[in-house]
Amino acid sequence: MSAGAFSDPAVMEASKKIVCVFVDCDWGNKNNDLSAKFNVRGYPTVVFLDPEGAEVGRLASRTPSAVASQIEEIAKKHGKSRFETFEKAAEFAKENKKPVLCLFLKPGVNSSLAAAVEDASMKDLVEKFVLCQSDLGKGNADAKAAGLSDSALLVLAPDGDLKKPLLKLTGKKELKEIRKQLEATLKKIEEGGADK
Amino acid sequence: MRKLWWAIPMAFSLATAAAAQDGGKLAWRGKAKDEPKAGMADAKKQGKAMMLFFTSEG
Repeated sequence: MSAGAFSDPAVMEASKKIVCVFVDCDWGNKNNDLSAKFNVRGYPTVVFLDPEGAEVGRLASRTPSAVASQIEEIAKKHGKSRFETFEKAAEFAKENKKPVLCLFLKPGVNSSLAAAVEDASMKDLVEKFVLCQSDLGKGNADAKAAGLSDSALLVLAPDGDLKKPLLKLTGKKELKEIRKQLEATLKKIEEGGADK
Repeated sequence: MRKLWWAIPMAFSLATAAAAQDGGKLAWRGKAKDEPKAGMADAKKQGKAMMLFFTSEG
């Protein structure tokens, strides 16, 4: 490890998008479970994990610019994009330049919108969004801000406003129709033609 | 005096190695009384990927 890589401004900036965990092994006297789990054979060793704790890579280069690039890439590719509040989703969306997909659900009511979001055939499309999912209720400030009282699926630009969604789907919808509308909205966002 | 000439690069080398192992200026979880696993649990909650830096400071 380059002595200055972890003090480099670009690396410090990129590191804000992930959680940096210092594992002091004290030459085999501490944190042996983690060392064994990730097959650490020498120090220092840098291992990247997804939010669930599965290894997704190891440090490929030691130069500050390469370290920063790898961190950015890992954060973008593996950062989980599912949150319970719009505030957290929006923060993550801005950092990762992804649009937000807000799913508001009436508790105990089956929703075709929820089924579509969870459908395996939609995984590739849903992964392109930051997902914000919450139950409708009195305490749901996001639903109140969006003026919702029924299950709904909203799409917002990375720095969008809950009151002005780019797409708003409510009621019963066919999977194909939901996919078509999401793809069209995503395309609009990517082409920069969507108003916030 | 000769011994001193050996000591200078040796000290520099040790200092560089120490700097490489202390994690620089990043905001690390898992330092001092904070357990690495607490940082990992927070990463899961926040939906963020993690960078685990296995080192031996001692």
